Amino acid sequence: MSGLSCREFERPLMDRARNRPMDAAVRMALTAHLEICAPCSGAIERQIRLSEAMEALAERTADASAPPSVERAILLELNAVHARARRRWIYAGAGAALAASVAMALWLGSARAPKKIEARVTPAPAAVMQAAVTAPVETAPVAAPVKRAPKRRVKPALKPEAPFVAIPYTPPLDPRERVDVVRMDMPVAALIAAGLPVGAADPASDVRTDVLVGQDGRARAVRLVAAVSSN
Amino acid sequence: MDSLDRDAELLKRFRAGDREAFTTLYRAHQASVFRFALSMTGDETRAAEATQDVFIWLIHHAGAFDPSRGTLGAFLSGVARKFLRRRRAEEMRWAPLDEISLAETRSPCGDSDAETLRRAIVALPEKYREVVVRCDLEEKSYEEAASAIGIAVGTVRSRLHRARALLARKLDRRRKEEQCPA
Repeated sequence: MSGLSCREFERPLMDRARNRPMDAAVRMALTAHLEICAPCSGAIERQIRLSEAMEALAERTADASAPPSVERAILLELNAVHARARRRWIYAGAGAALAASVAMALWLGSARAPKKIEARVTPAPAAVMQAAVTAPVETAPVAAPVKRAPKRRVKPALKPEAPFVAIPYTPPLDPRERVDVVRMDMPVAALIAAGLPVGAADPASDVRTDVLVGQDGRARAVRLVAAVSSN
Repeated sequence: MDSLDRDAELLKRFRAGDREAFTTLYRAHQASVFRFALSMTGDETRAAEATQDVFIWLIHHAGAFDPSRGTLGAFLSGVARKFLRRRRAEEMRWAPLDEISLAETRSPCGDSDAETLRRAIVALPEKYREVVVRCDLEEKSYEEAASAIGIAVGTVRSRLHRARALLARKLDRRRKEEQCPA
């Protein structure tokens, strides 16, 4: 039989050795070929021995499974992922509570008009800190009729002792966003809750702060100006 | 409920925060992933590492499984395949040349056919090793193997034929060596 015929039988020979389903006509032709072709009958014997060894090897690994340490590691990772998700919720809740408290403080601040000093600042947020320091600041009308010379009086208080500290979990400001800087007195306890390093001894006291408010009316950052009063 | 629906449901529950659902999935599929990795590497430690990698990846990418494209078992074996390939590439980058050539060591005397075969399979080039593992050890059809590897059915058959010829030659050589030891 020619080499070409042997080549034609290569795949059927492998399928037969692997006990795979085969077309009846091909099976008959292969059987006939194996009877007259010594190299192919030798090849199929080797392939059948190989299939037997494969079965033995597959049986040996049939019951293999990952060691318990893998499951432990996976459970640890699951716990870690779960804990991270829980922390995210806690932080989000704390951020929302802080934003609410700042909003409340803003509202209360606006109710106490005589104490509020507001400076509208239009440039981009990057320049806000500098602008807040140097911009001319106008005081709101004070309840008691006072001589109108506010600029001179508030200037020393505007010295930037501390940088703005971002309020956690609030959306970042767009570089072109217009912002307001609102000066108000805030309770020390609220500032500590926001993570600001406040040196005041009495948490019940108020401190004077500049609050950076975005276009959406939400407070984004706070800066300490000076301690105001103790209760 | 068939296994595909059950797995999809378990993954859905896991994504909703049910850790037990993931543990159930892990217990259902870890053995097949581990066996595939073991057959590919011939090393239990590496197989365990690969299994761990696969399931930790699944924790973080549970949404990547699409039930319309196949079973979770096939999906995980595809993920395992990628991890094994990446690990192999990293190992080869740092392995000295001598060590690489030693990878194809001869079987010690007294090994069974299965053990000789295991060594021979691990020493095969990856493209041949993979079809042998899928078709002969995992007893997948040519079509399933082709789908898992991402090649044509004809390519699976020709690679399997070539791989089996190499393995049969190795087994045969070993037998002859045992019959007339030098």
